[in-house]
Amino acid sequence: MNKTDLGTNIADFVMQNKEKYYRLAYQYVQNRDDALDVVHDAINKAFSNMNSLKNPEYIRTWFYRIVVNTALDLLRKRKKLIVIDDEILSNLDTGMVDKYENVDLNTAINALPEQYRSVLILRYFEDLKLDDIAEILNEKVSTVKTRLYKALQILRIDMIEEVNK
Amino acid sequence: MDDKLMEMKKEYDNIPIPEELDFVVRQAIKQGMNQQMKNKKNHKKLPKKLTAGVAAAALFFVVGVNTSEPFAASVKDVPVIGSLAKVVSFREFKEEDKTYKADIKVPALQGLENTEFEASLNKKYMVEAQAQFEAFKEDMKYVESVGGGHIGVEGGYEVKTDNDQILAIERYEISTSNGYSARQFDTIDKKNELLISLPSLFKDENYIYNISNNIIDQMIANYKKDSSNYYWVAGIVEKPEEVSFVKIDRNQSFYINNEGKLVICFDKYEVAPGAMGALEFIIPTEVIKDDLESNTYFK
Repeated sequence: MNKTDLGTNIADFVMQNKEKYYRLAYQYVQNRDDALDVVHDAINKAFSNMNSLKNPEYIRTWFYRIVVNTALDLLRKRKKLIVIDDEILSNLDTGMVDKYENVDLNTAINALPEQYRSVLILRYFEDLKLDDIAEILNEKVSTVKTRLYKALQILRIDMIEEVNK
Repeated sequence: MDDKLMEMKKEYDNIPIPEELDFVVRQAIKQGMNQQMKNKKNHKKLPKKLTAGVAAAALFFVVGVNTSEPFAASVKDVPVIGSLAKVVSFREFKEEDKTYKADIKVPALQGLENTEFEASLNKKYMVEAQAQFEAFKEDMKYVESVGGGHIGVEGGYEVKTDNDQILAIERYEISTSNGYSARQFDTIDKKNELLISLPSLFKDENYIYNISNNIIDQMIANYKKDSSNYYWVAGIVEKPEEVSFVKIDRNQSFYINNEGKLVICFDKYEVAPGAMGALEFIIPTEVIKDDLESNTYFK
């Protein structure tokens, strides 16, 4: 496939799936303007890095990866991204949950550390297979599984708290 | 738990889609396709037919100061003849509607001795502005055809440097609706009345590497200072496919500032995420001094 065809492929794909990727971006950045910015940046990156798309069949996971990375770039820039190591995270499991009372479910997801949030969004909201998620996040399938389990664990505690209130 | 997940999924699926999305996506695709056509390296946003003509007109004046030894040597002795040169607002393209706004100011040079040179530059600025305005009108037509929406463009100029020797003008175009922006720079030698091109300042192509390496060092230093200073450069991005800056183009945008330093310019999205905006790097003269054709402009 030559470059022009690939470009047309990307354009068609992006046009068809723009709403999906906008929602994904929005889930990360939580506001309309930034989400539009992420979509715009991601398309720009897709075109300038189209050589990295080895096989057009992978365009879906390839573009997911670009959108996720672009959204994270923006969050990094906005400094909303808080890096949390495993130790603090285990604290989150137990003591720090009531921090989230009175907040909606999406906020609970956004409070998750980035690595857990991505697997959760991609698995349950985008209905992607674990294999695909591993490909998008450039991680092993087993890592994705662990993170997903952990994410659910954290959220469950979170939500029981909300139910009990 | 499953109920909660379902509820979250519902909330996710109900994230409203803004009406601008379609336009933003189309614009980004258009940019991507254009960039692809023009071969990744050429970042100039001007239509091809127009650049060719303008380049031909400007070429005549660019060949010059540094190509001939005696000419370069005599530069210092030339009395200040170009210092009357100044930049004025020539005209303005305007469109004002509830949802469509365009405001493009066109600069013009005045007071250069070489009126032919002056006219060629002024013509270039005019053609650029006209092209921006035409593109805006096209977008407006498109937006209208899909049921309307907000678009806006602002064009203008800024005098970056004005001293005895150098007049540097930036022209910019900013979309007020999708954040797209582009800039063009001209650095004019007022004494000799010529347009300085980046390659003309140097003996050979070595400057490309020395300047690029310095910029990469600056990017990494900025990033280390504050990780919100993020650039798509090796050493910062984790994945090789995200690297978009390796070296500058031989005709990279630049100007010479009031301190006599070379400033290398990048458009928004060119080397960093959009949030970083358009970028400028001041190159220490130390870095380029061995490559320079003459010391006329730099301190």
